[in-house]
Amino acid sequence: MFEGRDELAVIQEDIKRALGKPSVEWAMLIDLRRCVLCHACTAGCVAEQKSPPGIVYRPVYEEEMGVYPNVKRRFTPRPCLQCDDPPCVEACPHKGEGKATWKSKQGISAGVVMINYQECIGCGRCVIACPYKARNLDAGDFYTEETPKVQEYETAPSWEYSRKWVRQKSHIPYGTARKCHFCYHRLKNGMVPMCVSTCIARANYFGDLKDKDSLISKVMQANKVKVLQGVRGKGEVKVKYEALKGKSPKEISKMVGYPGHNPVFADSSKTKPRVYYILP
Amino acid sequence: MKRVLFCSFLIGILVVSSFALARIGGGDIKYPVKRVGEVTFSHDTHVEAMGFNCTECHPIIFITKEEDKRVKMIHRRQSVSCGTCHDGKQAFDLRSNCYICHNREVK
Repeated sequence: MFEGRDELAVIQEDIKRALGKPSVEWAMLIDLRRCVLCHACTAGCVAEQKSPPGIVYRPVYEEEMGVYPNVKRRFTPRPCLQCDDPPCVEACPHKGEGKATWKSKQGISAGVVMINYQECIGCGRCVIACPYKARNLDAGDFYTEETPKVQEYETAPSWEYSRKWVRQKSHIPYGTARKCHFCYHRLKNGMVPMCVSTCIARANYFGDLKDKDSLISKVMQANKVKVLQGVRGKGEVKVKYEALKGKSPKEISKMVGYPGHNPVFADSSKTKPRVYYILP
Repeated sequence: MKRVLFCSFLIGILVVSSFALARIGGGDIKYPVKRVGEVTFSHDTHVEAMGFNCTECHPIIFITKEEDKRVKMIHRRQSVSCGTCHDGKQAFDLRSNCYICHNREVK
């Protein structure tokens, strides 16, 4: 609760106020002291984006630290960090506004790293370039593929980037890179991102950092924040661009260890992420 | 009855338009050629029927149609663009098989 009101109501007011302004800078703050590892954000995100098997926009990492009896556990949700200096965009052979991927600088999407599924060629260079394991290639699978009927909740269209994407075998976004986009389609309509709204512990803050009256700015000033420096994956190997030729999306995700395992925190990161953390 | 027909017509248009937009890689890529007719590269035959991954060609052999202005017949000898695979060993030879790709007979 914030000043006697639910945080979600305050965040939604902040978003509505920010949408009326000419320029915004979306950012997210995650309070790890509140996270309880319920995976409600992961489930909400998967349901909202209709993510296929192998793709999770927002996993939650579980760690155990220390030696008995002083053992601590830390749970770290990891959306895409929407870096200001994104290495994934740098690696893209078809980068640029309106092309495959770009860092949005103006409008409602300001601050979000966007992907245009129709232009993405599915080469996988951004997947190996991201130090946070936030991107992966869509293998075009269905969860209920080998059952008598592919279920409706999988073939229903997703509305990412405010466009309709019908999910059928070998249709876009088959083969393209996919990642979190701060629920751009919801933001545009004044709604809170899905992971923020499903969080049972209200561990997420979301809003415009330029607006000093917004809840996220106030909480960030009152607390010491850190950012992610990188995420280590299980069975991760260093991959060079040349090694990607002929590899399937599943092989690439296995090589980078998607969706990661161990987060590494630091005071600052050279990629300048827009997602901040309050450590326990 | 009329209403049903009209509705089915509308749905038909919707279905067709969404199909046209949503194929892999934007569907067919067309390269206009002056005398022998344009060449249509089909993503469907290469990805769906042959079962190639996107990374087989992207981005080393091709990036996009706009960024690759180097798709030419001479590349068969140099082993770039189409000639990388269409050399008579991995896939059919570009020479002596003109009308598999070009759609018009030479007059």
